Amino acid sequence: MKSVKKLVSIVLIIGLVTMLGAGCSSGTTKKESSSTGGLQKVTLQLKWLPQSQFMGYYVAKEKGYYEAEGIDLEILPGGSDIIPEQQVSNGVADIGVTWLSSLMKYQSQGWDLIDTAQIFQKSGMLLVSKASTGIVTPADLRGKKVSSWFGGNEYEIYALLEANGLNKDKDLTMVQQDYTMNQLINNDVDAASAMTYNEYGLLLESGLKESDLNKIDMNDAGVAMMEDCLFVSKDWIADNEDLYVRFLRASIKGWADACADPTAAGKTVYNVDQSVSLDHQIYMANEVKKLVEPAGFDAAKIGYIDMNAVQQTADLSLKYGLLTQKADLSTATVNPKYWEEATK
Amino acid sequence: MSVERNDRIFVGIVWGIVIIGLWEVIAFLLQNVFQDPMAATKLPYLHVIIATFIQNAGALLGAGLVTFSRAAAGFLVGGIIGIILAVIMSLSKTVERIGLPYLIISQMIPILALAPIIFNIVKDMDSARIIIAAYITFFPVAINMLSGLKAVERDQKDLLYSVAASQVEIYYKLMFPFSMPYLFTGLKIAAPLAITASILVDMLGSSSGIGVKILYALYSNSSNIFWAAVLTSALMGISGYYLVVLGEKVLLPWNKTSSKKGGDNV
Amino acid sequence: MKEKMLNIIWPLGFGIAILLLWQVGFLHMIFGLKPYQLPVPTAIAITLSNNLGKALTDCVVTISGALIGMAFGSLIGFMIAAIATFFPKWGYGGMIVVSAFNAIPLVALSSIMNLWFSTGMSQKIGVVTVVCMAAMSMNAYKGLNSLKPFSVDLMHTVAASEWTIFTKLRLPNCLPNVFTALKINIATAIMAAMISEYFASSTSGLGFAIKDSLRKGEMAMGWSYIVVASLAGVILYGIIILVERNAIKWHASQK
Repeated sequence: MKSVKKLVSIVLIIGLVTMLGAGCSSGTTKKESSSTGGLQKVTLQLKWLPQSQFMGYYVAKEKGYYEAEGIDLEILPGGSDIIPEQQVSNGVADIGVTWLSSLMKYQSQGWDLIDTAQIFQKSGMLLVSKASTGIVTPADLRGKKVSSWFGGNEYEIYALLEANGLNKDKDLTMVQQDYTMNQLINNDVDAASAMTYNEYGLLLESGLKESDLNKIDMNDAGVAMMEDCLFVSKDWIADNEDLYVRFLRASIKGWADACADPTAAGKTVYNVDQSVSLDHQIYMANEVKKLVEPAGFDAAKIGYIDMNAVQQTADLSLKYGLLTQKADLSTATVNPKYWEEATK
Repeated sequence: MSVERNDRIFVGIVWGIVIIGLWEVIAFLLQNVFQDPMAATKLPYLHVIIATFIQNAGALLGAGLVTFSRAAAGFLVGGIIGIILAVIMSLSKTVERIGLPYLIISQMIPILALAPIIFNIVKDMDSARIIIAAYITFFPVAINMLSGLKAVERDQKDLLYSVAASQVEIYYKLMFPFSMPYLFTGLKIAAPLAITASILVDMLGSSSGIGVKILYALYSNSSNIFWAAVLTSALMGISGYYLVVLGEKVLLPWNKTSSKKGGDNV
Repeated sequence: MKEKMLNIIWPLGFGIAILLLWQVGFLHMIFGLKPYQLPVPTAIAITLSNNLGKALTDCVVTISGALIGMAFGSLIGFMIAAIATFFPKWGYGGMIVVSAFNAIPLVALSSIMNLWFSTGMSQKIGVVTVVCMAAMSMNAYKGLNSLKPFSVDLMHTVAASEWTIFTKLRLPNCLPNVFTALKINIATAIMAAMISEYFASSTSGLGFAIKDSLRKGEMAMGWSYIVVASLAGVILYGIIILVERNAIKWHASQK
């Protein structure tokens, strides 16, 4: 009997501690945009480490565009275990940067997140192989070993394969790729995923020449899915519509400046965190510019949501298995009105 | 005393030379005998890594310090939680029955699954990071401490009971002193683990720390920086380990296992 | 017999209580979580039963890698401890080197092993081997050396050789510590095997499946794999405890 008594008291203590913990946490849950010195605090969650992929925000922050709009912006870098959709949904961040295809996957599973602006107008995804393997067209991938980062990043490649009559399970081997490009350099895989603005540049920097490499571009292959977009949670935007429009206005200005002078933008980003190397950040800035402001794109329309591209992303996602049901493309999931307001 | 001390320094130096020599030989073989094209990434020469380390000493040590202080916080919190859990489990067989399987389960849940939930509960990245570091650290401490508390001989406990010692006295006079060596073994395992936990936590969207350096270096293919950062983290692990050994010597001068070496073997 | 029943009934009862609270949304309420962030147990169970075949295959891949690596790592760790016992002056340095290995972060270790080995399985075994050495060598060293007072002197008076002292006195004395190390290592090994799979160049294993599903927000799928990993961990831990009970009946911790 004594032990039961002891047990009860221990359970009680644990219960109390838990309650206390929960009490403390609920005390801080109310994360309203508090004012600091007249500025409203906003946090932006990046998809990955600080790099020129996100140069627009860094340039806008450095040039004081956010302050001019009354915003104190905190930029949270991403990381290996950070998922922007979850961070925004948790309330750790207010606004997130992610790939549209990934966002759609979350939305389809009931997450109350809204796509509000499309920063990259084109897909930056490539499938790179050494010229010596002779992979020129997607059909050449038959029987080869192809790597992807998975976790949602594999669907453009699936689309590419299926669109060219290849079965992803039977006709070739798909393996996971780590953060490095070593598997390709080491000839452990025949073709590897690479972003135009990042991994492809790293391959060139590692001493390979452009003539040593073949690349298959998802845009050319007609299977492009949309990548970097800005999204918010339904709850947050309901209370902060005006704040968000101001954030967008400042960000678009930052992106326009960054695209006008990618070298300076690369420097700005490099100075934030000394990430990788200055040359690499400038290389990335130049490549990112091509995605944000493709040839013939009006710089004043940065962030514009092309519903046709959104539709294509949704259709491809459904067709190749990322989504299990048809994406709902109403204003509850994709809402350009904040962007329209910001660019007025 | 001083002879033994000199002896130990001598042994340390020999160990150092052997490791450096072995490393250089393997790196040489890889590059020149096996002609491995990736040799410089697989295992660069140690002197190249050390040169890189010295060139980037400021940045690396600065980052190391950030990580180390986070690790210390996580180690402290995790250590205390581990000890408390072990004491509670030793107090009640029922709690031990309930607790042990769930302690194991807790170690199976990857941070990737846990991090969003912890962020959701605390909302604050900095405290979430310490919680995660503690979460990884407490396990070896709890397990070792518990085996220490349970290894107290029944007779000794009975003896104290027979002189009407209270539960608190028994713990204070017998169980705690007895289980201290076990606890320190747990802490010695946990100290380097706290460093790796803290490095993992660096990668949770932090912008400073050695983990960030490793991540950057990894995917920017700067293998020398990568190895220098790994070397830094290994050095931090050793210093963490030594801090615990030092603590053990100060707090448990009667404990012979780690301080006296080979008295019966000379 | 009653003891054994209690060993199962108590944790099971506690687990069921937690699962119930989880299912009815109490956990979600106190932590402020939405069901899509943390799926309820029934959703996880349904997902798991629909996907059982693949989950078990992945489980076999991960667990076999973890066990092989753990065996290698524990063996190496024990040998280092034994060497450190025979040659205390020289051997102790090996323990420090091993504990330094323990401070190499898993992300870095996985990447290094990715370079050294090209298949996912060998990379996994490599990673697990390295992380399992330290706990074993430290615990075993402690067990081999914290002997009862005067026991070594006693052995010396009967002119026992160092080897006899090792096999007759030190080895039995360190068994409890070896089991403590195995208990720590089984958890470490499975965790390390899963993390190594995050980066491995393969698409099988629990770690890959967990990462892949959680990244895509397929939380129920991710958690169903976590359930499989946890069950495997607890079962293996249970096996170690059973072996321990039979191997060291004489020790105070087993009374």
